[in-house]
Amino acid sequence: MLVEPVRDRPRRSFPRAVTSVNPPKLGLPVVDLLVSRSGAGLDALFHAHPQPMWIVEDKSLRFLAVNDAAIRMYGYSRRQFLGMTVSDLQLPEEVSALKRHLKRHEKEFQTSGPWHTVGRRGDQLQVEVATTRVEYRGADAILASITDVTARVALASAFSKGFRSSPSPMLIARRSDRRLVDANDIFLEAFGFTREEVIGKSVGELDIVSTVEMKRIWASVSSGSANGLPVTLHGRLGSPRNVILSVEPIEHEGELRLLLLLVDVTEAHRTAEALYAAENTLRALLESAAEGVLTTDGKGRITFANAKLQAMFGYTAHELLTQPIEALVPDRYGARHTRLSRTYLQHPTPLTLGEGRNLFGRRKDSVEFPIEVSLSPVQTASGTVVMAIVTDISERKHAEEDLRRSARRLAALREIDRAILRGRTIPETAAVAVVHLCNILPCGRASVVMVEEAGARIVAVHGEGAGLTPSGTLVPLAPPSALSLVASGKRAHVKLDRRARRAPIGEHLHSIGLRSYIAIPLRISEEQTAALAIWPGARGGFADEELEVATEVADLLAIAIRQSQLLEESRKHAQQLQVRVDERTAELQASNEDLQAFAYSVSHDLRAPLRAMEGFGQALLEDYGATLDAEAVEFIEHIVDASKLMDDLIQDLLAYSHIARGHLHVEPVDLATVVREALEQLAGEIERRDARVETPCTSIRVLADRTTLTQAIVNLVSNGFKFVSPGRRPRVTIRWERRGERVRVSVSDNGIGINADHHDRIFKIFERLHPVEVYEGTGIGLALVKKAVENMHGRVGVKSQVGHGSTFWLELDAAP
Amino acid sequence: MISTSLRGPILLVEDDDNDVALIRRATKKAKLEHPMKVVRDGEAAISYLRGDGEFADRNIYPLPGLVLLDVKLRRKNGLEVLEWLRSQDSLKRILVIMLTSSRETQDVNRAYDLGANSYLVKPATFGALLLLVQNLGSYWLLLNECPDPSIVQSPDSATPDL
Repeated sequence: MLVEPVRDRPRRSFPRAVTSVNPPKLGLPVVDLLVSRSGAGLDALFHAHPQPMWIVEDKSLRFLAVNDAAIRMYGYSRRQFLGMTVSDLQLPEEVSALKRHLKRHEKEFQTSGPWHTVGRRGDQLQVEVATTRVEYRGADAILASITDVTARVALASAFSKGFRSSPSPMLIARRSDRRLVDANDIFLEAFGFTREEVIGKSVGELDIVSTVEMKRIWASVSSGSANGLPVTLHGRLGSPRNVILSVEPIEHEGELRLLLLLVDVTEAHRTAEALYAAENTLRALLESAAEGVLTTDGKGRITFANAKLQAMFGYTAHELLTQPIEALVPDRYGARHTRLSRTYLQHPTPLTLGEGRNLFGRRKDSVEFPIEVSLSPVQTASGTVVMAIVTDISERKHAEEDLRRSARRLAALREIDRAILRGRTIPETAAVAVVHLCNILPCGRASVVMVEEAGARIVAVHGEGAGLTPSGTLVPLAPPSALSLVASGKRAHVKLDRRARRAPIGEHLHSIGLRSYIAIPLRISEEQTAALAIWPGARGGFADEELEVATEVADLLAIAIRQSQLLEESRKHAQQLQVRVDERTAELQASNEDLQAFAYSVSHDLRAPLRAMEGFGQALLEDYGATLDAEAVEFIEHIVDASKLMDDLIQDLLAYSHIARGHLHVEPVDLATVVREALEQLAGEIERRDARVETPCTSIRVLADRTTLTQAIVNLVSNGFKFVSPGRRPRVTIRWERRGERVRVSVSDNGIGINADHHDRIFKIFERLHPVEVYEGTGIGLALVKKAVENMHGRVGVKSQVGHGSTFWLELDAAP
Repeated sequence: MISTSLRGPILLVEDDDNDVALIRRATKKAKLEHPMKVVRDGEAAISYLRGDGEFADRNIYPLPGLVLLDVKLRRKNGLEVLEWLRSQDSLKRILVIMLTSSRETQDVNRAYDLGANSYLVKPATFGALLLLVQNLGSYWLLLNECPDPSIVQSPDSATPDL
């Protein structure tokens, strides 16, 4: 799993399939799974990270991913986790506060807490949560890094226990509004209160001290703390008590509060003892604190250091006491630190240092480590004392640094991915990969090698130092070659030993100081052996995690190379296809020209003999009819009729082939005009057949070739005349109507009708339902209509019933 | 019979003997008694019009006043003959009527572009052919005022006065 923190540059997620690339998403960073592809790599980094981490969806706070450390910490399985939301881990009363917090992310890895969470075994854990916004699988999400602070909180509760059972009366108040958050048993007993009466009230409201005196107290603690203020308190029980009040800032329940310590001096003889006890209590509390605690005097010398602080800095208490505070500060802060601390000691105020910036402590062994420091001045009789609470934040810093590093890797991988997608050729793509690999890994050099018949081709190479074999070079394979190892699909560590140096390339690499490299197979295809080679840099060697990154890059590159190869192949196929299409087009053109020549020839040469047959038959009848017998005359008439019919056939065939060749000029034409022209052409036939034609005169425009449409109408009307019962007067009605974007023209007749079985056949060329002796015709007319109309993007059809006439229709696009 | 203004015979350029016979029969039946000469291909037509070789004797082969020209001919087609004829100063005014079986639009247009005076399609039946010949005779021989191809104007004199 790869995790990327917020950046202001737009990011794009990895493409899941090689063919589809998601458009870049703006604004949020992207967290993505590479698991689906290789299962290794940075996913391992997230999962193996010692810091418990999880990713939740931004809105629902549903778990999207958890790492192994988090699973160990909470005891839920990954599967259980993925069915839960953050709320399921939380104490109910904290859920809404946590939600509010998670949804308000101003900066990277903002820390909050402690929060109370419950593990699977019912164990309560107190955690601090550092969150940042990420994009995970295209969704807005929150990445959280969890720190277990249960132990720290437990110590705090130890404090609380000590506080409760202390023999000196004590109160704890919030710094902000000075309202009381706790009072110990002896206080309640001595002054006659229950705890409930005290909590949430101010000291003034308890009515144990006069307002004037209270003002005096707060005035003296306003600078942080006060020590040894004599105060008279009026409890509910007994007479007024004279007490010495000390106010100390403490860290309590995660915030800085005030501890009010009362020493009853009413009985003077108990004073010293009580004071001693109180100081011991305080000291014991500080000693047991989870954080390092030290105090300095007004000159910045250490007067107290608790066990935690001693362990943190590697000193014993004895070594630290009376040392200047500078002993714990890196030398490089030197004079500046001294000056600042002097200034601070003159005007001490509560202050937290190191949060959000880099502050370091120095151990006895001079090792530096990141810390946060809370400073609280304490006023005492002997002057200002400063109490410092020191937190070692190394672990948190490491966790953050690890995340940053993996984010950088992710960014680099992304860069490679993007470049790979941009790259057109395999060498370009490989070059991008090796350059970036050298940027994110401690590589001396990196190269991509592909095996060809004659040897190994160095496709791309990048690195430092002299002696880079230029990319494009073909080198003979040295036996045993690393490439024969990677052919088995495994990562290989190849040493340039004596055997390897037998090959010139091996010797060359050895001569420029290289000793070994890691060869990672590129799984491009079964037939293609290729490898990514990485050479250790100055540090020598690679960490497992780095090898995983390199493998990740190798897998990416293999996909990209395969993609390039496929692209190249499909480009070639497309070219071949284009050539074939061109050839076929030329062939078709040639055959179309042949067809035209054929039609031309038919119209001239085939018709000439028919004219002769008809003409001479006619001549015979005219010149010799008188001398021939009746049968001879009839035979000659048959010859004449047959030649006429054949001429009709040829004419119709020519018309059909003309339309089939489709030389059309489609334009808006007015149907009324077209029908009028058609009827003019049919005038002779109408007269001969004594036919009646009805047609409306309304104009409507369709998209058609005028001549062709006229021909189609002529054919339909003529067809309607033809098939009437003998002796019946043909009547044809032509109508048209708009149907959406189309116009339908219907030609209805009063003819014999057509059986539904034949409705499809009649539009086929040469289909005839009746012998020519009964109903004349060539069998081409309707086929011509269909062809013509279809060439004008229309369609034709018929509605008919035997004995009830027929309605032929055609539909064309209406003119806009 | 009203006399015709047509000078010279009709030249029929037709490669189909049947059509020649039918056209002759039709002219006879239509009583179109104007002299008619027949040649069988495009080259022969050009030779005749030039008065070359066997056609050198203008007494036997006088210059025609009207040519009935088929489109599809051997050696040179009718359109080529027409194009050549219209480019000859001494011949360009001769009336040319295309008489052919082609209805192809491109042939029709091309013929008019090259200067044909008329374009007729051979009918399918003899009856229709007879009608055509009758009409042709009455229009082109009787009604139409024909040019005189023998008067050749020089390019200068052809320029009209301004």
